Formats: sequence, structure tokens, C-alpha cells
Amino acid sequence: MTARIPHGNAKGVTLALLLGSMLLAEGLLADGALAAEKTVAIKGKVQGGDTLINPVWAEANDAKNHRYTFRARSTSAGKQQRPTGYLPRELCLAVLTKSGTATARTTPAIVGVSGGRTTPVTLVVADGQTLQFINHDPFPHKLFDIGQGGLGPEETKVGGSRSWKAPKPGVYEIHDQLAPSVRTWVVVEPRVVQTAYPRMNGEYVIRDIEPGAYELQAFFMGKPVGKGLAIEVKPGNEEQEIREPLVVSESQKSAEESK
Amino acid sequence: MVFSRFWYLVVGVAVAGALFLSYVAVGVTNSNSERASARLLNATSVAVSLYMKDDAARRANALAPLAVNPDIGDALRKAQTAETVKSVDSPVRDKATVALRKYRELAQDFVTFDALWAIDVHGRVVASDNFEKPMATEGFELGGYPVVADALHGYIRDDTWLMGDELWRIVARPVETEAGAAPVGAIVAGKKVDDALARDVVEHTGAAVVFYAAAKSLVKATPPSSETHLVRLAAEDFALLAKFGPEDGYQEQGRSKPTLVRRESGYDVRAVFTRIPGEAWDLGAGFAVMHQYERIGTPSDFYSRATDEEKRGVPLLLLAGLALAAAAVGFLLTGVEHASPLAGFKRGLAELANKGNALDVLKPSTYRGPYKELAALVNDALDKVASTAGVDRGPADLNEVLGPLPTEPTMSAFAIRGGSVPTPVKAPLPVRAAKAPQTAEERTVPKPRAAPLAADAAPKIFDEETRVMDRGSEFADEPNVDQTSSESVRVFDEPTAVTDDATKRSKLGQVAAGARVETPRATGLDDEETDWRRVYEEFLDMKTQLGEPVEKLTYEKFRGTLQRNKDALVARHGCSRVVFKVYEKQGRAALKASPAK
Repeated sequence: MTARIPHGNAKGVTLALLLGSMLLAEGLLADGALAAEKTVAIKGKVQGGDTLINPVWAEANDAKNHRYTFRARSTSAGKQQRPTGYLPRELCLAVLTKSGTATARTTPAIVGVSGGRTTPVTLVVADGQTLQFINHDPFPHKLFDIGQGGLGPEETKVGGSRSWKAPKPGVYEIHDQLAPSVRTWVVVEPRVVQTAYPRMNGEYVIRDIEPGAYELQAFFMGKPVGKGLAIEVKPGNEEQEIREPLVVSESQKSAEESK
Repeated sequence: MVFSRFWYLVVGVAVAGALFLSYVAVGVTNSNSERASARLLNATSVAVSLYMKDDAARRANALAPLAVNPDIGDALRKAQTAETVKSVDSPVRDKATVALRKYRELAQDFVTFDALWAIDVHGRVVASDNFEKPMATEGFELGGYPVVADALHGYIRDDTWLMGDELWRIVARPVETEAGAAPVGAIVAGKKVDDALARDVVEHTGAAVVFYAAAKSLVKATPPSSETHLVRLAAEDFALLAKFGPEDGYQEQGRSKPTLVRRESGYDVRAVFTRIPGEAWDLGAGFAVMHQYERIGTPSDFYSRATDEEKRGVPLLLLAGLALAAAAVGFLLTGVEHASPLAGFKRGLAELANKGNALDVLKPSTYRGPYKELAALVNDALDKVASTAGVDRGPADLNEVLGPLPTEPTMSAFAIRGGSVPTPVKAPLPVRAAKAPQTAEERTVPKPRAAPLAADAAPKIFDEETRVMDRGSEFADEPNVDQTSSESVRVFDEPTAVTDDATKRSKLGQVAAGARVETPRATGLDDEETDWRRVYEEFLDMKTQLGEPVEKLTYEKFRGTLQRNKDALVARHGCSRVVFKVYEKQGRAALKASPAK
């Protein structure tokens, strides 16, 4: 579930190069062993994910918006459920450096388009990161951004793709002329070094993080949700557990504090 | 003449009125047709919407067996925790696929689906039926659609998708393996909006319907009664959709007002455009119900459009009776006012032309309208011919020429007897025809001509003709006063030639009888009294000469008559004096009164 978008900063690169030179000199470094030794994974849990409402689905459930002719609750279904977001694609957990800027990766970030949405729905990328939209649907799409991002409504044929790079930091909302429910948010954040998406139960694992102090922030539908969590990533090969949950809902956090 | 002309006016007004009503009927008929069409279109549009809603609910209910199918439930439950769909055991997925296929085949007798999908909680397609090609694409899923998400949250609902050029009606319901628990997935079924679905709509609603999307017509179907070629939508018709404003109801409410889309010869085609709820709502998808109705251009179109049965419903006998009655009235009036007078005039001419008949003049007064003038002209022509031949036909008998005249005006000023009610003539005046014919000598010996008349020396009198008021023997003891009056003017205005001639004849007769014509010269009351006494004396002399009795004719009575006639003429003409003259008329003494300035 981890999006492998490597980032780094000057300090990390310097340390990695230094450590790599030492190991290489000792003949102990094999291909690929460098990343495994210099980065670690963190895992933890998101709280309040069930309070995040998908705005597209919520709008579609409003009778005023003419999205259905009939809608009824299944008599055998459990308690009434609100149109909560699908966290594995909509809640983006971003690891942000506390200082400096991250470097965008050279390979494009892949965004699938299918089934009335993109995968993922919310992206947090470094400045200058290229996105590649790939159409998996059996019909064309015409993605465009509703702001000043420069993504025009060009047709992406079946199986085709198109690339786009955000011009500058900010939040970009992308729509589809041929599929109204497709709405994607791209957050261009210069400090982001790594991103990941939680499971449906809120558990998350973020890999390939270099040791250091970071801020863990969740983004939902283009906006930061909850309060950023300060984390300290220590060197080592093990998965490091972040014991403090990442609260993604202010109301949920308040509820926890009240307990 | 008046009535026949009035009848022409009546007939003309009736025809104009009928045409007016016909054109009003054209407008009323077209308005009614338009209103009826609008009501029909609105009702039909609503009916189609309700049918599609009902159809969607029926399809969703039909998915219930799949929602509780154990093979599908098992596959979806195992997919929940699987990293990818392919990581779920293939036999498990195959069982779900078979379940979908079997159900679609079994259900097609009562409900048809073009595609079925089993969706896990992640929105991924775990199994599908009749939609294999997209399934082969890695990354294909359906979880973003609100209808799928809603089903995964426990709701049953419908949606409409536009996939390329295809419009799909979608229904979805949750798959629940445990009562009260969250769904493990959803069953999604799709039905393409194709000819079969359009025909189904027509069959259940009777509407001529066209489904469209993105300004293109997709499918259409029409009931057997519709003109198929008229039920179509062209590119320009879709341009209407963009022009619809808020007042048209299309953008917000999703249903337009009845809109004219085509005008053919004799037909208007109107449509109500309705947006289809769902994803397709924002993609310009919808359906149009269309209706054609006849438009009446001119009143004659009523007949050309009428069926035989409608034509049979016209009360032809009544209309024919009305036409005959109108014609009969017209014939009657023209017969009375045209043919009959003409025939009478023809008879009069025939009598005049009859040599065995002593009649030598027509009686204009016995004719009406233009024939009166024609008779007078004939008489003038006869006089002219006689005069040319040197024959003096003698003075005209105005009673003969003009017919019986009122003995006196109805105005009290014309009354002869003081305070008495005017009495009509009881005995008809003798006419020339009744007299013994003149002898040949009388006709051949010229009588003295009128000029110069003694009256020429008198003060200027009005050039109006006078009228003899011969009252017969009943008033033998009173003077007959020939008085100028407005009535006389009216009577003599028409036969001017006759009256002029009659005046001359009267003057001729006066001269021939040796009447003395006095010159009015007195001024003031004393002079008038002197004149009147002189006229009285002359009148007595004339009566004595003619052998008439004079014993009862006192001056006071005579003066009273003169005074009344004077008053009447003064009041009528505004003259200052009235001159009375004595003359002989047909062997009797008579008076003529003329206004003088």
C-alpha cells in the first residue's frame, strides 16, 4: 500500500553517499543493499478515518443533484453508513521534512483512471513531479484541472495516457469532462519526502524513509486533515512503530482527548 | 330597392362573419391542439420518467438472488483482504462468474441485463459476466461511481452512465453475507439503452421517444400511430438545449417546456426534453418525447383534414335550408323591388303605346323609384315630340301626372280651415284619361305660349315650383291655394323636368283662360289688406265667370285662408311677403301663393 515515491534532502544524500563509500570500500555492499540499510519503514494507525466523507459520493446522494431515480436502504444492511471515503485511495499520508525541500523523483507518478475515479484520488507530490494518467476504462476520458494548472481537456483514449506536471506548489483539482464523478486532488508540497495510503482499517506502513525528524500529515481531498504528527525515524532495518495514532479528524481527536 | 339592398348587406355581412368565425376557428383549433399537445407531452415525459424509475427498481429487486448467492459472497469476502483480485483463488472467482452468468441467462425471461459485476469493498471487479474485454485491462474497477460506493455502504439505487457513445442504465445493491454486518461487496448490473429498451419504453408509455447524449441521438422508438420520419432530432435541435434558460426548466428541473422543434407542411412537431438522472445528467444525456399534431393553415384545411365521419356530422339539410331561405328572401325582395316595378312600367308603356287607348301620358306617381323618373322622362319625350309636330298637348293635369296628392300638409300651418283637422281628399280628382279626349282642332290649334308671363313683372319670387292644392268640391266655398312648401319642393325635386313643365303648363293654362295676374306692389299691412281685398274681388269675379257659387265665401273666411297660407310660407321660407294670384284651373277658380322677398 505504500506509494514508492523516493525523496530526499541534501543531508540524507550526503550521509548515504558517505555510508555507501565506506561499505563499498569494505566490499560488503551488494546491489540494493544500500537502500535497505539507509532507509526504514514506519507503521502506525490512523484514527477518525470513518469520519471523512467523500464529497463526490455525498453530492451524489443528495436528491437535489439528480443522480438517481430511486435510492433505498437495504433492509438487511447494518447500521446506516455515511458515504465515508475509501481511505486506501483518498487519504494520503505524507512525510514532510521539517526543513529544506525535497527533490522530485525522475520517474513519473502513475495515476490510474477507471471506475469513476482516479487511483489514487489525492496525491501529495514534490514540486516538479510529473504525473502520468493512464486510462483503464473502456471509453475515453478528458481530464482537466479547474484552476491554473495548465491541464487542458484533452482526450485520453482507451488504454492511453497523458502526462502533466504541476507548474508550482499548491493544490490542483482535476475533473473529467466525460465522467463527472472523477475528481482528483494534487497537492504540490515541496517538503514531502514520502507518501503512503492506509488500509481500510486505518493501519498504514510508510517505507523507504531515511532516519530523521519528520512531520506526518494526512491529506484528504486536497486538504490537510487533522494535526500533523511529529515523528523521529531512527536508523535501523526494522519497521518502526509510531505508537501515537494519526488523527485525521479534529472531532475524533477531540473525542479521544475527552476520554 | 331598400330591402333588397339591405339584403345584400345582410348576406355580405353574413359571409364576412362566417369567414371571420372560420379564421377564429383556425386559431382556436391550433391553440387547442398546441395545448393538448403540451399536456400530452408533459404527461408522456413524466410517464417515461416514472417507467424508467420503476424499471430500475424492478431490476434492482431482481438482483436480490445474486446479493445472497453464496459463491458470490464467498468470493467477495475473500477479496476483502486480498492485495489484488488475482490473488484470490481462481476457482473462487470462477464460481462467482458462473453464478452471474447463470443468473443472467435464467432471468432474461423477465428482466434483461447486458452486464453483471461482482464488486468487492475496494471497488474492484472480482467477477463479471458479459463484460470480459474491459476486465482484461489491468486497473479496471468500478469503485468510484457513486452508485457502487452507495451499494458498498448498504444502499440500493440506480444510476445512468455514459460509456463512450453508449448510455447504460445501472442498478446496484449490496452483497451481505451476515445480517446487520457491513456489506462485503456489491452486485452491479447494467442495461444498455438500446432499441430494445426504447421499444420497451414505447410499449409501456405510448411515447415517441428519442434518447440522446452529448448532442447526439442514440436510439429512438415510435408507436405505430406516429409518423416515424417526423420523430427525429437533428443537430440543430440539440442546440436548443444550450439555449434553454432557467425559465425553461431544463437545466435545473431537468424537464423542458414543450418546444417546437420542427414545422412541416400541415404539421408541427414538439418535444419535451428530459435529462436522465445519474452520472449522465451532467453529460447532456436525456430523452425527448415528441408529438406531432396537425396545424390548420386556412379554413379550407378543415375540409381537407376532415374524415368522412366528421363530414357526415355536418347538418347539411339545415345548411341547405338556410341557403335556400336566403335565396328565397333575395328573390322575393328583388321581385318586389325590381322585377315587379319593371313589369308595371312595362305594362304602362304598353298601355301608352296601345292605339286603341286614349291614354297619352304616363302616370309617374304610380311608379316607384327610378321608374317614376323614367315615366316623367317619357312624358317629356312625348311632349317634345308633340311640340316638334306643332301640337300643344295643353296644360298638364298635375293630379294626373303626379297622382293623388295630399289635400294639405300635415303641418298645422297648411291647414285651410282654422283649427280644423285637415281632411283628406274624398273624391278622386279627375285625370286626363278620364276626360273626353280633346278634339283634333284643340290639339292642332296652338294655344298662346307662356311667355311673356304677367308674373315676370312681379317682384322676384322664389324659383321653387308651386303645387296646386285642389281640394275638390268639398271646399268649393273656399279658395284653393297653390302654395310653395317644403313638401312641394321634396315632391318636385325628383321630377324636375315634369314640375318645370307642369308649371309652364299651369301658366299656359292660366294665360289661356285669360287670368289676370296681379303685381304685388303694396308695402305694409294696409297695402297687404288692400291687395288681399283685391284678390278677393278677383277671386269672386273668377268664380262668378266660371259659374261657381260665391254666396258663402265671405271676405273674412277668404282672408283667414290667405293669412294661414301666408304664415306657413313665411315660416317656411323666411320671406317677407306672399303674393296671391287668381287663376282658372280646369274650369274652377284657384289661388296660387308664392313667397316674395
